[in-house]
Amino acid sequence: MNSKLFPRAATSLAAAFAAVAIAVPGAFAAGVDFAGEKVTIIVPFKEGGGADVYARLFQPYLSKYLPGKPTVIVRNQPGGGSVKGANKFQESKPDGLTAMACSTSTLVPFALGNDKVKYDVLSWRPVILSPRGAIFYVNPKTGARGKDIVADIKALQKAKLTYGAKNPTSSELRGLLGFQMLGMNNVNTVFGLSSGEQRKAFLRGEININYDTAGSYSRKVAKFEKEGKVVPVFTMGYGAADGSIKRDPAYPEMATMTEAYEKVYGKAPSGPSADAYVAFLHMGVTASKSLVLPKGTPDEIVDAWVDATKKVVADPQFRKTAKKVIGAYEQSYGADAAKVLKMATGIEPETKAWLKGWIKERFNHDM
Amino acid sequence: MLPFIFGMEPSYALAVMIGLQSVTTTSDTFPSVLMGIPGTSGSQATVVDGFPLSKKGEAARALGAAFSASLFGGVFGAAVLSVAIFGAIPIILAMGFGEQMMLIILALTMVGMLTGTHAVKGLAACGIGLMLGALGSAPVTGIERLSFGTEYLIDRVPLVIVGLGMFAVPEIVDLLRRQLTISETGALGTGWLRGLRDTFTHWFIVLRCAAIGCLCGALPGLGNTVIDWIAYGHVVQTSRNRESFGTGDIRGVLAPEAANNAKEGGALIPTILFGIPGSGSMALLLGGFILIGIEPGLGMITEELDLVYLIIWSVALANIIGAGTCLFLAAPIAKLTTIRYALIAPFMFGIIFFAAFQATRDWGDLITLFIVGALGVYMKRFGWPRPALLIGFVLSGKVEASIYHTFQVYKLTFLERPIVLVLAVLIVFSIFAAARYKSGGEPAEKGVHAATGLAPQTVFYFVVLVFTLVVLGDGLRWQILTGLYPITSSLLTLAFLVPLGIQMARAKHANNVFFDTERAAFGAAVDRRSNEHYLLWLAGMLAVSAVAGFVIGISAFIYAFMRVKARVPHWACALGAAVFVLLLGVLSHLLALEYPQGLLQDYVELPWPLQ
Repeated sequence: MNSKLFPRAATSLAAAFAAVAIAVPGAFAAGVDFAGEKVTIIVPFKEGGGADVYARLFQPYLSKYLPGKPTVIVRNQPGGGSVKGANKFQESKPDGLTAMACSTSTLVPFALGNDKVKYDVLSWRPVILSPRGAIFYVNPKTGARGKDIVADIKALQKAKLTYGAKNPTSSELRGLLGFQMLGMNNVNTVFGLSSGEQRKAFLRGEININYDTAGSYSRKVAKFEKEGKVVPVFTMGYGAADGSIKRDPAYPEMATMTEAYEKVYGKAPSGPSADAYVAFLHMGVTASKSLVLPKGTPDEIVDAWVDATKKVVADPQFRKTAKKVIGAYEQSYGADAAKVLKMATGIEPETKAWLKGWIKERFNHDM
Repeated sequence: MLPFIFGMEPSYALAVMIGLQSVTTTSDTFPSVLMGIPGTSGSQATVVDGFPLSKKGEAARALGAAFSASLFGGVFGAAVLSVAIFGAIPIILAMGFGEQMMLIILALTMVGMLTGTHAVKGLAACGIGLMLGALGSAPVTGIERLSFGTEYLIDRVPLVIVGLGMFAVPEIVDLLRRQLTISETGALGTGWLRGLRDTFTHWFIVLRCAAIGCLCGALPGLGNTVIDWIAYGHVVQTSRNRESFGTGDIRGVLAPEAANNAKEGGALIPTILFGIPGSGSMALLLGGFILIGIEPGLGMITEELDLVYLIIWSVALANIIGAGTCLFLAAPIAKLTTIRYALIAPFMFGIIFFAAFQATRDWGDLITLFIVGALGVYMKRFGWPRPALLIGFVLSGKVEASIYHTFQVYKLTFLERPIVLVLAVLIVFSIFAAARYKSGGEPAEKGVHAATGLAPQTVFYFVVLVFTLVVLGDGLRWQILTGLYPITSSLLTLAFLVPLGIQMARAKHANNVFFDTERAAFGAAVDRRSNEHYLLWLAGMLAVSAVAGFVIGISAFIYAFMRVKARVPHWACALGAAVFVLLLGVLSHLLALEYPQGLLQDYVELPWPLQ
């Protein structure tokens, strides 16, 4: 694979493996104490959404494990697709009392250089990063059967496809880039649909291809497989520690998009569209959700938080409730998480320029 | 709500969440009827007839009717829910983009019923609402339209602010000017038992509206906020005697209240069946489900049927207990309408600005409320029907999105679908019913329809015209997907504004097209001050808040207002202000709220809760 595709990533996931297994004693957190304080986790999304549930999952356990057992509250500041809340967060004091739940939707505008973005993802100090795989599925009327990946891709290349997305610069670009790479050129894109609406429209048969996060898929869509309404085709894949794209640990028997490409075309994907796809993979899968501290937070505070979240993840009660939300993916922490965020949002200028041109040409939309 | 349930035993947590969810639509009637402030966006239609009833001194009756209708609606919704979960899936799946678009157009045609005395003004008001919906990011492309460079308008104007600005602010100002107490008679009038009897008398209306509410709650596309208007429009459309609507007709309270509660049961259907929320409040509920480890979806019906019935019974029980409690509280709480209004008003302003701030927790919320409130005040003065604007606004986003989605997916083939055709027929009926409705009478020479002193209404007309042209101009800047909606909505409004303007210019004598409440005799006016006087008070409050933060601003406002307007001794003013500050502080602590900050807060760390 082209080495430019996969900038060097740290051994984040190997480290995470070890970290999850052990509850690390508070050796780092010697001087940090939040006793009697109020810790706020800002969620730049509405109540009930993915990032909100993520933050609230952690909330009571963080209260238990942060040094001094502070009160932890969640404050929702929705707006602008999370841009508003993230902008406000950028101004927060780096005293460990304010954190933010960051999601793919926060990363994409930053990476694409949206002019309303006043925040700097790379200045933040991440505490924990939770990946979430994504799975691509279709309506069997398109001709895909789910048995042979090459036959399925060939069928999809011939079929008339309808795909839903929020807007021309949202996270669904990962799908559109993938379709283009796989030679699926007959795609009618319907904008203005949230992920919930995309799923509903799929079940109604009005769109016939869709992407979903692994968790949402298994909870909401998988049950329709039995009725023959849904055929899962491939997963986006999963960014491994060494930078390669591996199979999604939640669906180890399913091929990734890159594998599908290789089987159909006989070589690895390359070129600007492949680079853009990988960027979206990291933003959408590897760096899906995270908890971050503001710019300038001192190391010892970050370490105290990392410490606490490791204990949270190891807590058996948490594991039970979190299983459906966080899934079987390995978490990464602290500096390792920071490296992943850097990799995810660091789109090369040539790729960005290519992407801008491609969006303008396909959707007549200025990025 | 969410912070509390975590860690609870799943069945308790479920009961708590569902219980809380089900009864907000019952208790939100209190502010709507008593104070003309829509409690939630779902109870706006109740204000139209409920508040006039309160002003006539029949608050307890209105409340009694509302609660019993709510009770019926809620239990009906629960009953339908218990049956529907077994068969609703194919129906819900049949409601595709085409069907949703037709539903929305049907809802828009209901506006015809609510256009007040002058149909063209009503349609133009609806157009203003549609255009207001163009502000902010386009639903399809995400490009900001008419954001005037502000970060606040990246998103659309929040609905709660439009609701409060259109109804609450003008009513409060109007009451301050005209009446000593909310209730004209200063007394309570007939009690809640009479209201209960009204529900029985009009049982068929209540049943029909509950059915409408449940159905619309379950079907995708309409959203929650317009259902009470649909029920209201339906009851007006199907009544032979329509004159009394808007002035305190009890049927105008029964209809939206029944529909409102039934819709909660209806909205639970897709939420439980698909794990896909039918509305914003259901999305919250789903979030709660996940936190307590429940997985909604088809599996629930087969594997956890007992939990499903727990939900259903919680809905039913919550409605019964909630309505019962509210009924008993109705009489004592209705006594509020007999208190001197100048004492209540500053607190109400405080409450509505507080509520507005919860929309996006941004200073823009307060400023927008002020602007929309001023608009509402003048619309009320010049006879531009505010419900029409509200419906236009509520449906604006959905109109735009659904038309685009239908054509993108179907082109014109959506017309082949059976449900679409049925809805098309309903739309034709609705338009026909609207066109048939003619308001009566020759306007009097003096009074609101006078042809003299036309300057203020003309100015208002031109302000509306300029806004329309601004929207049109902005729409022309963008490529088609973003610009189509502002262009069409402004052109549509122009189509109504132009004939209106011509009629205003040509009419020489008193005419229905003229309307200015200032021209009417004021009767027993309390205070000879103008609308502008009160708007300036509010502006002053905002200015103080900008400097010293909302908490100080509103307490200073309450103090000053009580002192100047109500002539209450200093210590009582101080007490009032202090109580309100305490309330804000308690809410802030319990619900993790923040209040708008002023310049002072940037420099000085003030003690809680002044920060």
